[in-house]
Amino acid sequence: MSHSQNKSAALMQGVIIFVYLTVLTILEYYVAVLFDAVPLLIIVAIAKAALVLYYFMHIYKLNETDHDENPDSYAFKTITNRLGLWLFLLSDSFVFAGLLVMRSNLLGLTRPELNQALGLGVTAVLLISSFFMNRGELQMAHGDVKGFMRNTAITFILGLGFLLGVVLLEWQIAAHEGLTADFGNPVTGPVGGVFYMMTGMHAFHVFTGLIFLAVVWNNARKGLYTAEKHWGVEAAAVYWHFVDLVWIFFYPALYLIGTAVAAH
Amino acid sequence: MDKKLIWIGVGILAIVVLGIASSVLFAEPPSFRGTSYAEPFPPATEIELTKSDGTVFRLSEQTGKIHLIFFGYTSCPDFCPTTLAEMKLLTDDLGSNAENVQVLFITVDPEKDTPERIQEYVSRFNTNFIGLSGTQTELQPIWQGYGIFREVTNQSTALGTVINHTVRLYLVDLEGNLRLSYAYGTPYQDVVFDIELLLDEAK
Repeated sequence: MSHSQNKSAALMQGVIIFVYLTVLTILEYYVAVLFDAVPLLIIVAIAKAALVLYYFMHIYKLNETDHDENPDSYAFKTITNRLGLWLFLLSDSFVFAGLLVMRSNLLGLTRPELNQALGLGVTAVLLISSFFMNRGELQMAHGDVKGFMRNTAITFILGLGFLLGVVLLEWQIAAHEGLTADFGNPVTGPVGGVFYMMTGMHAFHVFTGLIFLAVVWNNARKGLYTAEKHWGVEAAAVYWHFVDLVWIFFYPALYLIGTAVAAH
Repeated sequence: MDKKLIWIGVGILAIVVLGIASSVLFAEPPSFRGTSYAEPFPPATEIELTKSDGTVFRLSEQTGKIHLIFFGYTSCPDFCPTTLAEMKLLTDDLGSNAENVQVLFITVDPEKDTPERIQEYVSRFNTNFIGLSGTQTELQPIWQGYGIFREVTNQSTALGTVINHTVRLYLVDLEGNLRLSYAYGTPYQDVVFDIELLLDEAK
């Protein structure tokens, strides 16, 4: 197989995975509207997470070993770096898992009453941003720096759109509907606390991801990456997909599972 | 296309089919969230008690209303005020449907609770709530009819003697039948959901 065929096949794979993720997202939204489908929502979230972990985050690369075992080689260092990045993601996911446990303890089978259209909108934006991130990383792996910069810029804009959609729009609407982070209030305290903690912690990760993207974009502009040496790009991409992975669980947890409870 | 991707696509298709099939199976009909009585629904025990304004309240004469009945007493330290506060949130939540719902609070403490005292107590939560009291002989068949366990203890709080009593909430439908009941601690949104369902059915 020639190099260009390899690339177009890889790009095609990204498109197919994106279509799969879109189908699953639409399914979870409509199923949640129609009936109380907690087990199905969990299955869909796990399926989406598996697709992202394998096809976007390339978790299987952790199995790669260095054949020449030269500790000074870029390839060897990348293997070590990759392990470090995944250990960090593992520990970071405990924070998010803790927030999910808090949500299920405090709210159970209820959820805050939120703007569904906006929720689905920001979820779609983040999913599309992951698609472009995957594309950008692929371009870089095939030595196309311009293609990488173009796709990363789109990812950045979409990520910024997500961040502003949550912090500027969703938070304002929720506060207007009476959802407050009034922790002392036994009625609105827990639901407001859960909502702002979960979306806030996630938004903070989106924010740091945006900084990371800007840094690698700028490094690419300076010509610091090549098809063989671009660990920074891979790390930024994996981190960005991780932020999307967290939202795959947070979106149903906040918007879809349980009965909507109006804040008073 | 990669074989693995095709198999994943088949798997996703299976999840989609499962989702659509279960939505057809489970989406209809909407079911009540409270504990339903067995059909045919038993007619609600008659409540005939004098109100604080001197008129007689008869449950059988009330038409076009769903009744939510709760038993308690005015010197109750815990469950009664909590439930009444939830009833207030519930009527707020119902909006315009609230006019089709009547909340009744019936005493388990006829010695202390006069009709005036209990009405004044529930009015603090919502002026449309009705508080009812009477003599022990008038109340006994009502307690029995709704299965209210009642026990005067020798404990007391700053409010007075503690009376242990059943804290379920009973829903009497538009036809005057006992339809649903709710355990203490049921989210009031579940009751709102059931009331809206009953009103929709009646339309």
